[in-house]
Amino acid sequence: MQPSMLRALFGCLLIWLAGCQQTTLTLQTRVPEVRSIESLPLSVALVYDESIKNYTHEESFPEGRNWLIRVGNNQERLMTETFTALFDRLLILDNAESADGIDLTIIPKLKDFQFATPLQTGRDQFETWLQYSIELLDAEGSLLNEWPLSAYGSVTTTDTGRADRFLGLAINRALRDAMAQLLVDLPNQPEIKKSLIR
Amino acid sequence: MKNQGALLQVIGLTALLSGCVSTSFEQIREAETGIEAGERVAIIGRQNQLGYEADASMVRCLSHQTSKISVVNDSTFSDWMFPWFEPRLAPANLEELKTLLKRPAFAARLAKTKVRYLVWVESVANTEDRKGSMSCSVGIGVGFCLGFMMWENDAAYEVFIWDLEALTQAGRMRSNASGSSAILGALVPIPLIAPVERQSCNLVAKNLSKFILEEGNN
Repeated sequence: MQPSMLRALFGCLLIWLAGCQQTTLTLQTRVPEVRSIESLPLSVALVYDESIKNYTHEESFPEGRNWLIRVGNNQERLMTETFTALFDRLLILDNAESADGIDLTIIPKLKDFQFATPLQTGRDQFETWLQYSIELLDAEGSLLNEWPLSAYGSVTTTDTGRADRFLGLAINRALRDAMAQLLVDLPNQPEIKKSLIR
Repeated sequence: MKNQGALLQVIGLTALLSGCVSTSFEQIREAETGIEAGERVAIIGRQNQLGYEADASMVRCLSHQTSKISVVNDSTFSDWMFPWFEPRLAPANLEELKTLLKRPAFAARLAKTKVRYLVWVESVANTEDRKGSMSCSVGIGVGFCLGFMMWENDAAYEVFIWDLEALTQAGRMRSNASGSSAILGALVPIPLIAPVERQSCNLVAKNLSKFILEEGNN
C-alpha cells in the first residue's frame, strides 16, 4: 500500500473517532442533611430494585456524541439518606419478604430517565427528567399502591463546551428534586397516613 | 487620512453609545424595618416548576454587592432549609410560609438560621434589536475581523422583602438599566459592552441594606 494511501486511511480513522466521542458521567450528588422534617414513627423496610442500584443510561446523538451516565450507586446512597431522615426505623432488605415488626415495605423503581442538551432543545439549557414509581406494600408484602414521582432539573448556560459538567449539574438537580418530593409528599400518601393511625 | 478620521468617528460613537446606560429605581415601603446584631438576610432567586428562573448571575451579584448587613446566599439558605426552599416547594406567598411555620421542625430550623429577612429576587437580562454585521477570517498565522455590530440590552430586578419576625412583606424594589452595546471589528474585535446588569444590581444592593437598616417610612 502506498504511504499516501496509508496517510489518507489514518486521516479517515481520526475523523471517524472524533465523530464518535464517548462521554461517561459518574454522578456524585450531594443532598443536604435534613433538619427541618419530623421523622415519622414507622418501621419501614426498603428494597432497592436493580433500577435504583445499577441504573446506567446510554444514548447516542446524531451529532456523534455518545453518553454513558451511571445513575445507580449514587441514587441508592441518596435514597438511603432520605428514607433514614423520613422514618424512625429503616431496614434495607434484599427482597420484599416480610420482616418482623415492619409497618410498610417501600420499593422505589426508576422507570424512565431522559435528558436534553442545548443542541436538542435549541435553548441554552441542559434538562433532565426522572420518572420513579414508589411501590408501597403492607406488612404481609401485598401491594397497596404505586405512587408515581416525576422529578426535573435544569441548568442554564451558554458554555456548551463543558457539556458533561452542566449535564451532571442538571441531573443532580433532578435527583435533589426527587429526594425533596419524597421527603414532603410521601408522608401525605394515604397508605402512610393509615399506617400512622394504626 | 480621511479613512482614519471616519474610523475615529465610529470608535467615538461606539464608546459614547456603550457608556450610555439609563437606569430607573422604585421602592415601596410597606412596613417598618430594622435588624438586630447577629440577624441575617437571605437573598434567594425565585424559581418555579413552570420554567421561570431568576437570572442566577444577577442573584449572585446582589448577594455579593449588598454590604453592611449579614447576607446568606441562595444555595446556602436552600441547603440549610432543605427541602422546603427547592423550586417546586418554596413558599410562593406569606400565607404558604405561615402554613410551613406550623411545622415545629421547620420553625425550629428557620429560627436557628437567624434569618430575619427573606429577599426574593426576580431578575431578567435581555438582549434585543441586533443591528450590523461582522465577518472574521482566519488564515495561516493571520486573522482579522471587519464590521460593526450593535444591540440593546437591559437588566431588570424586582425584589420582595419578607420580614420573618413580623410575618409581613416589608417592601419591594424595582430597578431597570438599559443601554447599547457594540462590537467594532477593526482588524481585532473591540467589545464595548454597556454594564447594565452591574448598574441595575448596584442600585438594588445599595438601597436594600439602607432599606433594612433604616427604620421608619421612606
